[in-house]
Amino acid sequence: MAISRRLFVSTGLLCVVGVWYVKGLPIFKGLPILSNNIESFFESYELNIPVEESSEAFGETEILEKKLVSLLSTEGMEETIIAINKMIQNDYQMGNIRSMSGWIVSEVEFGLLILRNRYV
Amino acid sequence: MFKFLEDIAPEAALTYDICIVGTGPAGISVAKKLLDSDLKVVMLESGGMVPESEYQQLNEGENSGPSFLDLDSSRLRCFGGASGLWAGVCGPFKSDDFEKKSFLPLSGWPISIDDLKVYYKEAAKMLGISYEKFYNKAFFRDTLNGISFKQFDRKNSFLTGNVFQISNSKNRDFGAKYKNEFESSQNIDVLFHSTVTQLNLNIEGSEVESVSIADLLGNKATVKANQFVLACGALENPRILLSSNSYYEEGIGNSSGFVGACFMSHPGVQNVGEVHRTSDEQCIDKNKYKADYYVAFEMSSKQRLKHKTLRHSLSIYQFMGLASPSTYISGRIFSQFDKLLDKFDFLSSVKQTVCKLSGTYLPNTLELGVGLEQPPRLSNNVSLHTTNDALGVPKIDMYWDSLSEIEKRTVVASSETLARELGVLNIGHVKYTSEFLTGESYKFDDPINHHIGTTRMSNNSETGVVDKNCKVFGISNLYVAGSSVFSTSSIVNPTYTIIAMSLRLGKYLRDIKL
Repeated sequence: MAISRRLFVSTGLLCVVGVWYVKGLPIFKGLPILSNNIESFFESYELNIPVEESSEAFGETEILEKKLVSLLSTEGMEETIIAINKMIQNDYQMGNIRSMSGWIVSEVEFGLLILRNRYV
Repeated sequence: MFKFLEDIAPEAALTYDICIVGTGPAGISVAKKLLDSDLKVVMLESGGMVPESEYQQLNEGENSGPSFLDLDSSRLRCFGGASGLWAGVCGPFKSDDFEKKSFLPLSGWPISIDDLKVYYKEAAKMLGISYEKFYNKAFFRDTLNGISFKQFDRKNSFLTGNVFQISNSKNRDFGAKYKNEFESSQNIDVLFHSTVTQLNLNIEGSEVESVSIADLLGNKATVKANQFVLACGALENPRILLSSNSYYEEGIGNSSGFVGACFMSHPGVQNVGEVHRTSDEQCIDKNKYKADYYVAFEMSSKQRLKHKTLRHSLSIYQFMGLASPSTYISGRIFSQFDKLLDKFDFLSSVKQTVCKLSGTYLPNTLELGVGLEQPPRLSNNVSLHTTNDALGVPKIDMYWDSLSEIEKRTVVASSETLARELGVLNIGHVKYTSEFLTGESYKFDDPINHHIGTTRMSNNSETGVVDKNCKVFGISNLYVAGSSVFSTSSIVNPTYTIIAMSLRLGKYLRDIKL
């Protein structure tokens, strides 16, 4: 079945806009379409704090989560890892640290531990 | 010339220009500056040429505080004194050690590092070490710590590396090293078995006229001199001043109550945490680093002042596992068997053993301890006990308090700063141990045996015992040598500074008109 060029372009645009709109809705946060990205991030990114020792990592991480999702969708995995490492190093430079189950970690690392516990 | 009290006529009254009480590193260093001078000098040694058990018992005292200080075995009554026990670790004070800090009461010295530099150089020669090496950054990378954590040597690092040198046994054992020099001296007599039992003041109470000495055989004598120097260590110096209380009830130089007060040591808080390195384990070839000096890390001066902490030493070391001989030598096998078993890693132990044949094994996980400067606190003090020793002199009552808030804050801040440095460099993490988190690590006894303070140097008698020339306030001819005059304790081992300051005092005594 042949479709017109106009229909093909319109349908394509509609799909792109649709996905972009759905991703932005708060109620869709945490759905597989997003968590898959974060899960794959943790498959590539090694946090040196053992999982069993991060049970104290809980709390609000909305800002970091948004940032991570945004980075993954716009920059790709490699650039995201570089950016996250920079954020962690900046935390250590500025003294934004906290203690968690005895580990001295940066605020960003703490947020990542929460996300790891939630998504992985 | 060497003499024994038992060989002197009974109840003799001996007369000298200068009388030095004590023949340890402080006494010998003062006397070194007086050798071959026109001055007639006597050095009084409580013990003999080597330690004798009955004289060692004069060290016995009581601990009444929550922390235990070994009063007996940490001191030697013999020629050379505690240099016979010393491990030879040398490091100079830093210039900021001498400065007043707003967050540290009683901090600040009436002298600066510039007053000591020339004597540090002279002390270095006596100890067979290099003064210049302490300040040469190039040496950093020649040390085991410098290789293990070479990334710390960066601009704007949160940490700084302090160089420590080890004086070898030939140079650090002052008893053996200077025996011949003093035995053959024409102007210095060393009188053995001569324990000072009393300082005797003149009728005005303004100068020391003589000292009473005695041995354990019942022999007694008095020694008169123009100048007297107490150089018996930070436990015995206040003991003699406090027990010489026939003129002043509170003892000599004690009008403000500072004799015996502000005792300081260098408590080591062990089991603070673990350093988890992200890099692979290493076997560092022993040909790549030097064994006669090392680097210990602490927060940079900027970070210390910002966080209002004391000086300290971050001790990052390999866990002494079941395969390590140190575990058995230190008695850890009995006290920490559960932990040793829990941490036992067969593969790691094999690697460690193989590596030790050619170098030092650096695993991924290392232990963290923090050695501390102590603040001058009135509550840490040496006083007189109600019981006497065999010569009738009151024993020491040692009150050594638990660690204070600033000491605990220093442990936390330094551990966090180490974690920050590792984090900025992306090379590892710090994890506190459960012992540290529960406060168990703060319970310590003294493995260091550094005795500091107790006759502190100050600008005035309201906050100290001696002035900038080590002269006791209010007494015109009595001086104190040794670490008891330190106003603050720094973190470096005290002996190198004891020697430098004693050389300075010796020069002063030689130069003043007697």
